[in-house]
Amino acid sequence: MQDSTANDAAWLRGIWEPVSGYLTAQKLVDWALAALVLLVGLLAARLARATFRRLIGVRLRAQHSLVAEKGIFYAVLGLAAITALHAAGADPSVLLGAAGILTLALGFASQTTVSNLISGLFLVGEQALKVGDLIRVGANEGYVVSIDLLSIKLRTFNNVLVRLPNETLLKSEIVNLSHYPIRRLDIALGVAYKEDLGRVQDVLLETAAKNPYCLDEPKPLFLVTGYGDSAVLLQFSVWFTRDTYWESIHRMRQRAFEALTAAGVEIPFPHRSIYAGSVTEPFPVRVVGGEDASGR
Amino acid sequence: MTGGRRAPAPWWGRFEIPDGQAGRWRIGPFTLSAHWRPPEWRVARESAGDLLDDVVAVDCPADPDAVEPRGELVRIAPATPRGVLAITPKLADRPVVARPETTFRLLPGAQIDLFVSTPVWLEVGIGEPPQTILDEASWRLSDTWFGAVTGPGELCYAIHTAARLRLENLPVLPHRAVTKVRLENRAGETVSLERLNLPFPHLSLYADAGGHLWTQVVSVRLEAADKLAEVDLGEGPPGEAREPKRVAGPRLVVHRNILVRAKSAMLD
Repeated sequence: MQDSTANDAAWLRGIWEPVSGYLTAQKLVDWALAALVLLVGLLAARLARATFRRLIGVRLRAQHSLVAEKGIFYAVLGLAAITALHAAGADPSVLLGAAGILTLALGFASQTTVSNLISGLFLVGEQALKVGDLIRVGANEGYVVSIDLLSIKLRTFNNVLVRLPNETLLKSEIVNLSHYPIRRLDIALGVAYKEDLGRVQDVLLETAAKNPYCLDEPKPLFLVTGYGDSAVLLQFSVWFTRDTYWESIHRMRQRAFEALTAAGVEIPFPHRSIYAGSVTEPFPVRVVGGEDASGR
Repeated sequence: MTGGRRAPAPWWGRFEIPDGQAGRWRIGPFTLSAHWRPPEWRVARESAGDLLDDVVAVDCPADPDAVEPRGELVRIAPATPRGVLAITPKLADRPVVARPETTFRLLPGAQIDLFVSTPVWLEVGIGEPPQTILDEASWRLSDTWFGAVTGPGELCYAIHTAARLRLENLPVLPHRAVTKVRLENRAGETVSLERLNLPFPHLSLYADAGGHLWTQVVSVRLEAADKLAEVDLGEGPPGEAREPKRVAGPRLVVHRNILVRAKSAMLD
């Protein structure tokens, strides 16, 4: 029992003596100073970021401002961290040397990250999109909510956040749906072969004229795009501002359909004409039901 | 305006509505109703029917049971509990694009006057001093784009009643204001006029002795060398307006009377 107690005490002494030798009063002061420097550095980084945003960032594009703000924040914070380490008694030059080796190792280990970082710089420089734009990348469509160093984030129409790596974006086809101030809505439809296409055109143009959000100029476009199996294929194109485009899609299609229906224009469903040949007898037709289905 | 036409009664101004009473204004296709039930206002408006309707009917104060709200009804709590309602006619909040009946060619040195008629906006305020609760067109005009489809350009309103050479050919309606546009081609080449972009937010609105509404005269001088159009906003309405009085200032104040715009921003 006594031996065990003595062993524990020796073990504790073995730990405590080096620690107590290191944790001198001076060291505690140095570490407290380092913590203070780090704290001040954090506040200074935030202040620098806020000042930049207020004075310069408001004049820049949103994504440029975001990138610059992050750069300033981390640069000030990095300087504060090096100063704090120096205050704590560490030699920054040794750290920087170690950081060089570490960076090399990390570089090999983080090729994807570096690729995303560089891709992000190209994307920002190219100005193909900005925060607030409505874009389509592959199957994802939504508003750009942020452009970061490694990725951009989209908010889709059903309120889902999608993160797209910058490298993927740089390799993909980006469709910016809100780059230009006005957009064209193409409505594809078909009418029966018996219809007067001039009248159909008039009905559709009148529908556009009655919608105040449909732009007067550029003028609506009416095109015959082909001859389908069951209908003459048409395209009716109207222009809207990008702000009213989405709410107008449904309304315009609905009103065009209603106007054509009201004008008695047939929008046919697929059908087949069965031709028995000119020399054949007509198909026999038997009426079932009628006035007296029972035959009485 | 020309003699022999029925002078519409002014429908704007300050109206007092006793507690529990109502008011109704029919100005062409636009109908406004307001019920004052302290401490709340119930305001409804509707723009429907015939664009060329020339009816002006002001019924204020009126029996609240006889005034049926038409269109969207809004309930409003004013800052000052007073049954005072002010209606002010205003001009469009965006530039308006007008067209002549057919493309017009202006030969070098030619000068013409065009008359354009546009629906006015109604600014409605309640209480004293009035707090604006509504600023709406008496007839919603179509949007149009003036410029290239890839930008730069300007979102404007389009009017479908053609710009006329003769004032007599314009419909005289209580909810529309007439603008006289003087075009002068000082360029050494023929200028085709298909569309005319008028800077309505910069114009003031006037009423003549007959209650008709007018805007400042707009003069457009086309210069040759730099392809610029000098736009001069006149001091007041044209001489055709008898005893004009200003009823509303411009929405956007310009510090210079002469605006210089690219020709393509004025004419097409």
